[in-house]
Amino acid sequence: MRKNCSSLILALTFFLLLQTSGCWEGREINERAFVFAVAFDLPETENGAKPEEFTMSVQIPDPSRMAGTQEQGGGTGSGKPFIILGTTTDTVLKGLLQLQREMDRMLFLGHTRLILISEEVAREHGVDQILDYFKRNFQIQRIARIAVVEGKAREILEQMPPIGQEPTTFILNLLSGAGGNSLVYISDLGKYMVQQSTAGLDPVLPRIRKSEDSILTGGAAVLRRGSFAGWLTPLETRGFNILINEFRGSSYQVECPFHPGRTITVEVVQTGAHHRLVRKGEELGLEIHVRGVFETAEFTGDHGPEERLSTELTERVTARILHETRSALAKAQQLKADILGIGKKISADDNKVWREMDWEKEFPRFPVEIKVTMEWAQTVRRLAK
Amino acid sequence: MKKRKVFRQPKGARQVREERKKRKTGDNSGDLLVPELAKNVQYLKEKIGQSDDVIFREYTLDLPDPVPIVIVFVDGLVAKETINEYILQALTFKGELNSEWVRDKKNLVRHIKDRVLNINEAQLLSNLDDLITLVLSGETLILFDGYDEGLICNTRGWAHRGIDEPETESVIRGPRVGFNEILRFNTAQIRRWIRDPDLRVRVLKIGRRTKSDVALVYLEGVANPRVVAEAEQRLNRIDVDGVMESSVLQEMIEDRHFTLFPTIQSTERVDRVVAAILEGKVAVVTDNTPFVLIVPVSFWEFYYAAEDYYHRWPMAFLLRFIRFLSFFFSLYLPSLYVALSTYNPELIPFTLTIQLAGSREGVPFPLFMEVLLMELAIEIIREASARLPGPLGQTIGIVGGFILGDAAVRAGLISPLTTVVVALTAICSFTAPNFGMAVSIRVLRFPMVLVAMVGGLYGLALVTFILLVHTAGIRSFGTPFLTPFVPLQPEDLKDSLGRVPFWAMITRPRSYRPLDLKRQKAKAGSWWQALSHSPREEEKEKEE
Amino acid sequence: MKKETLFLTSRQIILLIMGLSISGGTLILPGRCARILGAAGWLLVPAVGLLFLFGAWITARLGLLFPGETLIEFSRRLVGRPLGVLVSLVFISFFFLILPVEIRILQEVVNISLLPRAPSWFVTGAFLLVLSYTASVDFDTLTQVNEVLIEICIAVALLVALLGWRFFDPVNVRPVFSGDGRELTAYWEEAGMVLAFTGYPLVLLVYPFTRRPREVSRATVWALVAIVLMNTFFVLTVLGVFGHGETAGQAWPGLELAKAVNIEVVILERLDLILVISWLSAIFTTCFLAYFFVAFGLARLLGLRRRAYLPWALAPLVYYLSTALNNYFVWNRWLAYLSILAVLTGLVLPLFLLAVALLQRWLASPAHAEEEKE
Repeated sequence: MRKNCSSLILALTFFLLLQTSGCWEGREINERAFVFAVAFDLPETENGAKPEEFTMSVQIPDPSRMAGTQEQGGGTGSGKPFIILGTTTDTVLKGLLQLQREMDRMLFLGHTRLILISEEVAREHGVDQILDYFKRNFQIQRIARIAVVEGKAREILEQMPPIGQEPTTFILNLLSGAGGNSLVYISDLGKYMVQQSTAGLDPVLPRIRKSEDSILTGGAAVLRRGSFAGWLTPLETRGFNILINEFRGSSYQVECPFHPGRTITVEVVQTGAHHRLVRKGEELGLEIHVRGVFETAEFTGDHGPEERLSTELTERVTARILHETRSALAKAQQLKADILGIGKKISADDNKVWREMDWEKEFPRFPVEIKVTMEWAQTVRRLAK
Repeated sequence: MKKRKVFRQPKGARQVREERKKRKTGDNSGDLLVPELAKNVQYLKEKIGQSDDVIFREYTLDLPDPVPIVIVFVDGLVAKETINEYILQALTFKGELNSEWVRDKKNLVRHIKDRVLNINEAQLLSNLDDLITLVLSGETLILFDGYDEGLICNTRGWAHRGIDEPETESVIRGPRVGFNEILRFNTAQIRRWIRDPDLRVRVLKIGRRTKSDVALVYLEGVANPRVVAEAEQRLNRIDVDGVMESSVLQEMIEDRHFTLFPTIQSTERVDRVVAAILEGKVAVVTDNTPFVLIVPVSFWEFYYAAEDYYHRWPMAFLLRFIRFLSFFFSLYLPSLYVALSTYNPELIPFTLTIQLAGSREGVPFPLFMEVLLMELAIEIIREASARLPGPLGQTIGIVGGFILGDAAVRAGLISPLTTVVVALTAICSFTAPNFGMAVSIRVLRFPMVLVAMVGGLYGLALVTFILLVHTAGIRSFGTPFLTPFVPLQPEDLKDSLGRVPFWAMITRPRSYRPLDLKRQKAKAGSWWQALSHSPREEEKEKEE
Repeated sequence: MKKETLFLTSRQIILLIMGLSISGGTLILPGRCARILGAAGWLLVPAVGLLFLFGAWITARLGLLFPGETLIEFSRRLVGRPLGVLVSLVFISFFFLILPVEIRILQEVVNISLLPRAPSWFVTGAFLLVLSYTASVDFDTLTQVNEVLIEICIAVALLVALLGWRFFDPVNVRPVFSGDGRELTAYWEEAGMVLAFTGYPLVLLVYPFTRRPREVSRATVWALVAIVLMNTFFVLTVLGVFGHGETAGQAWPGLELAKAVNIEVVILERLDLILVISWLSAIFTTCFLAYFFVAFGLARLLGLRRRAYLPWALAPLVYYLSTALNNYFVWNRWLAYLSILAVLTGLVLPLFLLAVALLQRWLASPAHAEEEKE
């Protein structure tokens, strides 16, 4: 009896609640505009644009063009399967509101997977300021990829990929290091947020740029105090990846020790970098020991793997890697951005020293020694020519 | 309020039993036979003689002192050959006329019962009400002039259906026998399976007018006596005019009436009932229906099929997994579909989202309406094909499901993905071995779609809480409904999401509190220990 | 059939205590720890846990002295009627005040994730309705529902934490002593973390429903150990994945962790929403238990035989209180006040009652009588 009474109340209120449906953010799925990618640029025209303004472009797929059902005719061929809207604004939210005025469907950021920031915006406005809205919005995924664009960011969104339907997935795959050449620094929003808020660590973002009619990745943008500081070249990025243990295999060409002018291509399969703080007298320093394994992949001369090749080849590979890692470090110190997280390491290992340090000043001249030990793992498939 | 309580006051089991006893011994105030045949016959004719199917056959015993008798039976309910050959023919006393007892007039009836009739079951009764009930059940009554006792002979024999494979619960492997409509056959089938002296068959009569036989079947010493007593008491409490089907009993003896879920298992399969009895449950066999009730039962058992036990045990994991998955889908899929696509499309992988959005382009109805309409259509098709005769039903299924669905999609009324979701849900709901449970789940789906429309995933979570609290509160004859998962009964998990090999099922399920827990002799204490003691290993140990 | 009371097993008691302790606060806990101690914040959990382990032990000892009774009855006998009623009221109000705060947290979580911009009356109202309906159940159902729900959320939380270990960086959880945290004056803002440990006072109300009181005492202590271990693991994972800077800056580090470990290309894309949904059940069990024990305690206190209508009667009050907590700062302050009550019910009052009980026993014991004679 009692039970039924409360069931009754429950049922009644349930029907009352039904009356209120749809007051809030429930939308039919075809009444949403899914923003796949956002791009930030500086405004084109110099006159009239205020210094705090930037342009914001969003890429929205057209579901009827992209969906597999081609019943109603003409899915492929007629135009691009997405639209790009742009506006000039000084905050992201304001930009979204302005864009919303052009769209009958609600802009929805839950599926935003790509944020492209042009070099100028990253330098002038700061990546951190641009991303603030994305950090606070719960709908945005932490696995959204961010990249700094050399050139115009919007152009990348407009580029049709060679394979596939829309560029976002294409760029996402490029930025996930799908090729596995370690020339790309792999990052996402979550990683950026962590790097950005950790003391003694400066964030790095991957670089992307448009060449004539394709999109190129490789290289990375170094940020300092939330703004763009400079580029790492693709090779420096590779060295940097080795230093921070995010190396995923790559190939190197070295000169053949016995046939000058001919090259041997080796594949470095894996590396491991070990960071250790060392104290030489009064001075604190960091020692990074890189150990790695390589295989020979391609010979241009008429020789196969030989035993006497081993030492010499190892030396040359070691030298190559040492060079790349050193240049990455040098670039970081030159840009005064501690992208290696040395400060964080000091804070964890020697907190007393860390608290007395003025890291920003100390980092550029902080002594870091890199040692490389490579090993030839002979997985030989062919011995003869 | 108070009045109702008094009205509802149940008769205690003991009270009822005493009443029955009184009736049996005949010391009640009911009418008794008198030593005059004519009066008795007149009485009976008044009571039941106005129906033409009751036959009064007058006859005279050809004794030195001829005794007029009347044989009363119901045409169609009796085996006529039995009456002709073993009653009428025997009563000609061929070769018996010279015997001593023929002259013992006082005990003539007793002598006839003991020496003359070739009937396996015969007794002397004098209570007229009892006699009438027995005659109406297909027995034959012989009334003798000058005696106040009637001789009642079991001559039951009526047309019945043979033993068929139960259509509602067919199996690929396993016995193909089902119950039929005759109580005695049904109890006999159980008895044929369990040749144990402890198997008890207790018959109760329920229904003022139908006076249906209802048998409680259980294993003494295994079944919990409290469950047996409770079942008996609840059955005795029933006071209706008739019992058409065991579902009448089911509704009347359930623990919780205001719930969507059935809390008593019903089955046509003999092997299921036997297995249940062996687990220490109580079966309620009802006359005139092949559906036997089993108490107590847990929620999950409605998703166990007999076949899980007949295939090898790893198969059972797959079968049960499929069934539980289907259960989940059939309850949640449409509402999840609505909730995700209206409130949280970020949960759907992004290529799928675009597919979804694209397929809904230009569909006139809001999504939840679309889903509700489709669900309704599926229900209508299902009902139509159930009502139509066999082959036609299938046709309707195909026409309705296939052509209608396809046409609706082509016409742009329904998005293709909705069709997929609803069809998948429908198929999932048909995997439930128990029809009653499947229907409850189907009914639940409709409010859940509405909730998903209003409250999204949040609303669904709240509904789940309510459902959980509701089902956890149900008891089936004292057994928690969600056992063995809630409350967790680790011993009983051996037969839940899958089933361990038979040699590891050492104990009966604890949830039903059987008296005798041990099911087989084993070294191990529990099933998980038994798994490392397979029979072959034990053999090896013995050899060593 | 008369429902047989199924006696609680010690496992069920452990889960009851966990059910009340694990709630919305667990999602905030890593942030609080990071704000107080910086990188070494994860050490704070076992430290505070140890303190409350002592409290749990005291509570268990106290309950063991009066195995057949609840706190409501024995406190009256122990310290006199008015004081006993007061003590009971403190306990009941502790359970009661958990409700608005938890409901507020729930509303916050639902609003940022599942139903953006849904009005608070809808979220709170629907939840309160469900709570009022469910809080009128009997004890068995309560324990059974709690059992299954809390197991699910522990499983999901552990899954998220384990997946998080792919990104775990040991450098993030060092150094042990750095003092990266806040100034001492701001600590009270984080006092709400105490609530992650103080579910155990409820055992004082369940002793009559158990067969072996000794087991309850052991279960109480084990429950706290389990809670401490789980929270330590969770906080350690969050700190290890994010580093203390990011953790301290997050309002819901637990949810962020789930966002961070999202696995691409599975049927449901986002793990964070799965965590949110399962965390709804954690909040639900907390509120469900608290509401039940409020009704249960009040009914015992007032000598009412039926308590089914009590939750319905209290619902408007809970609703009013939860809407009064209009923003983060207000409810965070409430959490701080509530944690004072938690310390009172978890440490001070049990200690006091135990002392009184032991003193009375000693006074009544023959040894004492003999001493007096001498």
